[in-house]
Amino acid sequence: MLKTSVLLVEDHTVVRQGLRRILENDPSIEIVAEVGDGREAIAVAQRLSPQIAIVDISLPALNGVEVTRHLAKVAPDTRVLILSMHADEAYVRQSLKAGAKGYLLKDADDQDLIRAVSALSSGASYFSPQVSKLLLDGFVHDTPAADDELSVLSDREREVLQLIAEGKSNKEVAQLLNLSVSTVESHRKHIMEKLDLHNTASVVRFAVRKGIIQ
Amino acid sequence: MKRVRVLLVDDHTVVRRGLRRILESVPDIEVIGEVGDGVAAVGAASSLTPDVVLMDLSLPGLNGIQATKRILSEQPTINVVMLSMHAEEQYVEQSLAAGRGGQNRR
Repeated sequence: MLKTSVLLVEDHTVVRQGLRRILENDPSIEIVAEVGDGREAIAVAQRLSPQIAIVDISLPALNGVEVTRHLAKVAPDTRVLILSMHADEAYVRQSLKAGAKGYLLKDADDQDLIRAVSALSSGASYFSPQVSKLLLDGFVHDTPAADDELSVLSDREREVLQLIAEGKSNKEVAQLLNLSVSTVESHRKHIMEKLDLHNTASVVRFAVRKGIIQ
Repeated sequence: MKRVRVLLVDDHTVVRRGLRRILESVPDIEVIGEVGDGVAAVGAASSLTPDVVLMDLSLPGLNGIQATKRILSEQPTINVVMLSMHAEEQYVEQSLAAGRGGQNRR
């Protein structure tokens, strides 16, 4: 039998190893790699193109939504299952727009996790019941997009925004993203102009409110 | 050899199940129960009398620190190990003040 190849992306090691054990208990699943960092996840997915990537939504430096967005480009055959503590409409909406095919809450049990992987590997989607309800309510009531403000930013600007909100200096952001300091300064300026924010503290508050950082 | 009897407390079921599998792979550890909130943790600690409680810090209702205080006021010999996603100093200090043992960063 051909096994479903899975990449596990979760920054909390003991949680990641626990997930690995649950998944490895199923004979149809093979964990091809596990990583604790969003950028590494992109590199590994590009190299291994696993069928499924299980991605924790709250990763430092590059969060799960941004990782999903990158994976859609560099590993288009990899289907992303977002793992999250939050049944929050903004998170769900952003994840799906970024290309995620499933959204599993951490209060799911081990069988739900297996079912989600199995659904995604067969080309279907999987959502925890609370998430399905959110999606249904959003569809029926046609709620306005909660992520409108974020969509004014480019992909690169969102990455810079997360790093600034995490307290990184322009120099540190430049090193992490392989950019010059002046390019980062100009991204920072554009982000603040577009969002009408006037200091770093308000950038941090915005990022927390939008779920970009915890 | 006497096995260490562990009670697992974490509100995220899939995380808790994973922890259980990790612990169960160690021969001298026995997981005698798992619960998902602080109130249930106090009840289970009282009825099961574990050697060790592995306690998530952030729980709904009664948080890990409050639950630890209650457990230790009833059964001071139980060891509580706090499990947290946060390495903030204030949580570590509160955890230490609430009981013995340290805080394991996830």
